[in-house]
Amino acid sequence: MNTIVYAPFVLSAIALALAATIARRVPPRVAAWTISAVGVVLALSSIGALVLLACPLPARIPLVATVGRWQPQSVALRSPTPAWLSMLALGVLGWLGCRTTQEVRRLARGLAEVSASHAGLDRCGPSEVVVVDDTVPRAHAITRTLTRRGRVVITSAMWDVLDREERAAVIAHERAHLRHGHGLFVAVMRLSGALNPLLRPMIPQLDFALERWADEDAATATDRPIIASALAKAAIAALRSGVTVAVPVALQLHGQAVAERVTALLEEPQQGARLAWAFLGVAVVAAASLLWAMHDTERFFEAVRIWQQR
Amino acid sequence: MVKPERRRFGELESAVLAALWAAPEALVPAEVQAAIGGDLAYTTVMTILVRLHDKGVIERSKVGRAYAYRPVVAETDVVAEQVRRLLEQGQDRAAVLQGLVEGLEPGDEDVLTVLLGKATSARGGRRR
Repeated sequence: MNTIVYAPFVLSAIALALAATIARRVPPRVAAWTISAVGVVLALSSIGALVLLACPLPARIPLVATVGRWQPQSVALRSPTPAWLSMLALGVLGWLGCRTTQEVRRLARGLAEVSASHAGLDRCGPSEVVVVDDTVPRAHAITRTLTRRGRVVITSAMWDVLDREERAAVIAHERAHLRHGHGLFVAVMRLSGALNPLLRPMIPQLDFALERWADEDAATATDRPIIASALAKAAIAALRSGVTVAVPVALQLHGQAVAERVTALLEEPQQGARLAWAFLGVAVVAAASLLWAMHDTERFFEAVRIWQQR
Repeated sequence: MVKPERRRFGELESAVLAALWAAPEALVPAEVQAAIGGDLAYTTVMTILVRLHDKGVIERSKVGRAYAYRPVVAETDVVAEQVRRLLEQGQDRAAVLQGLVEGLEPGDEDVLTVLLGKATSARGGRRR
């Protein structure tokens, strides 16, 4: 276990550099799936790598050493990981644990709020699409919960700026979010970002891919230029209303995201998923290097036992 | 297993209700048909309206010889307020809500206006 244990961290940085290209060049559905899959694998393998780096330290605790049948001193003497590094890895693991707990709480709180809103929306009748009276132009998909199906909420101000076909396109877009469980993708990616902060900038890339996915889905139901003009009108109306939705800075795409989506809809749809395979390769290498490092660590502890017996 | 026709019917109900919600006043079936567009037959719209009325979701009043329909407005203001609060929540909503257009910056309007022009002409081109 020498340098291979650091591979998941290096690969996280590489994946991050590639994610923006994947989100834009690959068909959006494939992009969203690969970005989240790669995110999960990298998050787990980097946690695994930290555990491997940290483990020589707890192995020196007398009780652990008795169970493992090795001498604490021999682990200290022969460990390839310096004690300060193991200490650091332990500290980082603790910090990541806190972050992940926070993220889980945040998601739970979001779900609780959604449940409350669903309860309110139930009073508007069983309709999946609800138009609420509001001067701020907005259209949102409210995720499903265990007991309630998802809803599409459109404000009257949004409704008024769109023509008939565009309204259908916007409803189809929001419905695509619900049908394909996009909320779950976001939740999984956010948890991955909590486990491995290097991956956090991948969250907005996933968001972009999910929006594009919903756009393309809506385009199959209607037509690409219709959803394009609906997006442009909605964005202009949102800008003019002056009430921009507060998006956490870390999650914000650069400003041109909507313009990029409109442009993509006016061009030919993306074809070919070869890039996505290369991207998945990053995750495969990360998982393989973690397995290798685990094997090395196992051999190290074997060696410590044999060395003692002599 | 959900039958496809049944699911389609649910979607149509949603569309009809959305149209009624969006209208400032009660709509007669012909107006509903015009508002939701598509190739829906008048009788289909009628069927949906009658079904929704039977469910107690919409109410009707006689206008001339036809009925005009509008949603049963139950505490809408409360609901609107609740939804508004949810939509305006910054930090925690990313995973539970997907907005149509986000991450906008004031400078984007010019670019978007140009793109809207392109999109509109693309739509016109296809129609011809």
